[in-house]
Amino acid sequence: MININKLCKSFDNRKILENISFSVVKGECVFILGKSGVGKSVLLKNIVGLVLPDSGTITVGEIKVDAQRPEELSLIRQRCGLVFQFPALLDSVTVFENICFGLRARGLLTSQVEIAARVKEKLKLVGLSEVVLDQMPTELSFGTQKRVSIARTLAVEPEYLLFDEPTTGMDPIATAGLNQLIKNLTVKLGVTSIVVSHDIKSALAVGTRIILLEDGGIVFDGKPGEFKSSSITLAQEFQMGFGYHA
Amino acid sequence: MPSLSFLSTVGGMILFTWDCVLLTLQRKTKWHQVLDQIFQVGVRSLGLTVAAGLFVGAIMALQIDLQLKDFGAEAFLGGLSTSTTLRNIGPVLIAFLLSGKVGAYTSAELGTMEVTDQLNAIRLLGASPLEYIILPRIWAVVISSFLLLIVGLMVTIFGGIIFAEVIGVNSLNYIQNIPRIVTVWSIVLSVIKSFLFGAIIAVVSCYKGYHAKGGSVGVGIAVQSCAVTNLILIIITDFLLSMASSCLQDIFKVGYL
Amino acid sequence: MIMTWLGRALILKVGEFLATFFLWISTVLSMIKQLLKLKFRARETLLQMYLLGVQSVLIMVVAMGFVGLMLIIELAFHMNLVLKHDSLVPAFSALLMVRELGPVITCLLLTSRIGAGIAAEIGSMKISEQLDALKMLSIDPIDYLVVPRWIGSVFAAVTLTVISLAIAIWGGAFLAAQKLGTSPGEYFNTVFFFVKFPDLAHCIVKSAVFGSLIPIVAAYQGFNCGSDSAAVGEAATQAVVRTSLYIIIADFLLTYLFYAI
Repeated sequence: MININKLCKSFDNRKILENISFSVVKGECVFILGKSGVGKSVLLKNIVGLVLPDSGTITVGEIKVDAQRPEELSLIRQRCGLVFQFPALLDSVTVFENICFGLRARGLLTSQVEIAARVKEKLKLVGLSEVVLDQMPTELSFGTQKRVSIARTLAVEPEYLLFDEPTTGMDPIATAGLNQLIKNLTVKLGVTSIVVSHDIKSALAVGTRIILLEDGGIVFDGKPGEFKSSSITLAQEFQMGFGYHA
Repeated sequence: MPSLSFLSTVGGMILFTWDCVLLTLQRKTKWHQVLDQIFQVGVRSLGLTVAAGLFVGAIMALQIDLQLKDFGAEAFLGGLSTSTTLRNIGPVLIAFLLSGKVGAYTSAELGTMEVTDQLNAIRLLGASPLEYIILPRIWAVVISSFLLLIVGLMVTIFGGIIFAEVIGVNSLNYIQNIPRIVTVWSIVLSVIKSFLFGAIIAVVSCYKGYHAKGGSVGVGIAVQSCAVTNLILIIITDFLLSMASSCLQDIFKVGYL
Repeated sequence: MIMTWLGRALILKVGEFLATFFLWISTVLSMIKQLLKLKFRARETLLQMYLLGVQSVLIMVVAMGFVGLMLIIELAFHMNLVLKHDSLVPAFSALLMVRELGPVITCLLLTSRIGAGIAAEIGSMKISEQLDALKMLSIDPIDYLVVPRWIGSVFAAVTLTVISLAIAIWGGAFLAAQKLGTSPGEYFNTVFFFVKFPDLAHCIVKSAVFGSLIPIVAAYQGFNCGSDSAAVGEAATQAVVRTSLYIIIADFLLTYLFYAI
């Protein structure tokens, strides 16, 4: 369970997040929607301790996110996999090395056979062939890089998956595939996911819960069905812009 | 206040160096990665270093000859131009070029990693970017800049000899004059300078790249401030070392330090 | 294998050099055209003079001050070793400073201060398609971007060299009084006796040539910047490296020219 309590964050006197409180229970697939620049990505980076809040607390499971305790932070980062908006693959090593980086760094698997098997399994999961394994990240297309980046996050088998704008820059077919993947992970493997997005179509199709952010605060929190019938202006605008966004 | 921000940068770099020294003492350095990087950096920069050394040597031979003519002391050309080049002008000018080639390159590379979230990805996957990315690069840049500077300085001697011949100075006289003025201590001083300049280039470029922020524009800014900081620190260090050598000379009452 | 590699590398380098040289020529032509048509972008040019020149004064003064001090120490060492007395140190250091180190070190500093900046600026304009937008408005990027920077940089190089030389020689006077016991009057007398007009002219020509190289090489790297996230940093790096090397080579050629005359 991820618990966020009265989170505030501002950059250069500009308030980004103000008194954000919500909790995510196991098995949920939460979509956080909002316009560009509303602080969705900052919220995700707060959860894994890459950005530190001005005030407020975040707990993941039983552990409090606290930069002063590196061991606990490392444990949280192992439980929460974050998929960055841009692929963020290490461009000095091959795709294979990228995917097994977390396994090696954390010492989760030691035998080469097991590592190779795990890498291939995750690669299959994101719908890539094994041809890419020996290539360098820069040789791949953006969509493929992004899928490799998801495979890298999945390789350490985190309990919570945090996606930062997963479908941005991907074609409609890849988007549909990715939505299916998130749904499968939630339903079959019981992974809890938080997806930051402005893709309302994916949110309605995959999400079990939608949170809408506006001006640093939460304006809507509920099921996709309720979102459709919501009377909030921003929620209606999001749905009217449906055809445009897709 | 530009001077204040400069001082805070220097302070940040000292702490950064301290972290890296601690990590090295804990034997966290991956030496095979260091070797790999040294090879890459060295091969990439060897041509530039040799070209720079050749030209710097030639320029100094020309300049010193021009000046000695004014004073009627051409006989000392070989020794004087080689000694000035080895002790000062050579290390400084070649280090300037390397701070662009090696330093700016490293800070651009690390800056790109930072702004594309690669370093954050490493943090999330449970490794320390300082240990995994920065440490091998710092050592590689220190060692390869040092070796390149030494190579460059040797080439300056050849550049001097070749151009002395071109302007009609007997190269045999020129070479014979070198050991009369270039003492062992001068060579030691230039080796010390080379090492410190290499260390400055490594620390400044890694620090600036590691702290880059703000997209591709941020990388450009990191490269620029890395190059400027490198040059200023190299000049100040050069002065301090010359000063130290001169003070030692006064203390021990010897003429060759 | 190694010969083909060397050959390829050489051809690429020469090609790039020629392309940069053409950019230099077209910048000068375009400046002359602007002057003749009286459509001079005075405001932008003044702004660039300020950005490139005035804002670099502080670091130049600090750096060259240290160079001046260092030169006195080192030359005192050499003169004591060779001539057993140090009365010629002021003249020798001032000459070396005016003819060689003043222009070269000032312009190398200026390169890293403004060369990387110009390359990064034009590079990110290219990435964000601003250059294409300029072309759509039928504005010549060389006219609009390069000429003001070129004038600003030549101006900055020459003035900064003169200022930093003054600082360096003045700093030398201070250290000579402390270390060699040469009084400032004596010091400036020797300096003015040995440094003659041709030396100063040489210094100005050198710094003008170096200053005119900086924005051209940087702009060339910016115009040819790639499109990925690493490209802007790459362009800035290449601008610094290329300009520094060209400055060293130009310095050699100019010194040789001066020597031959």
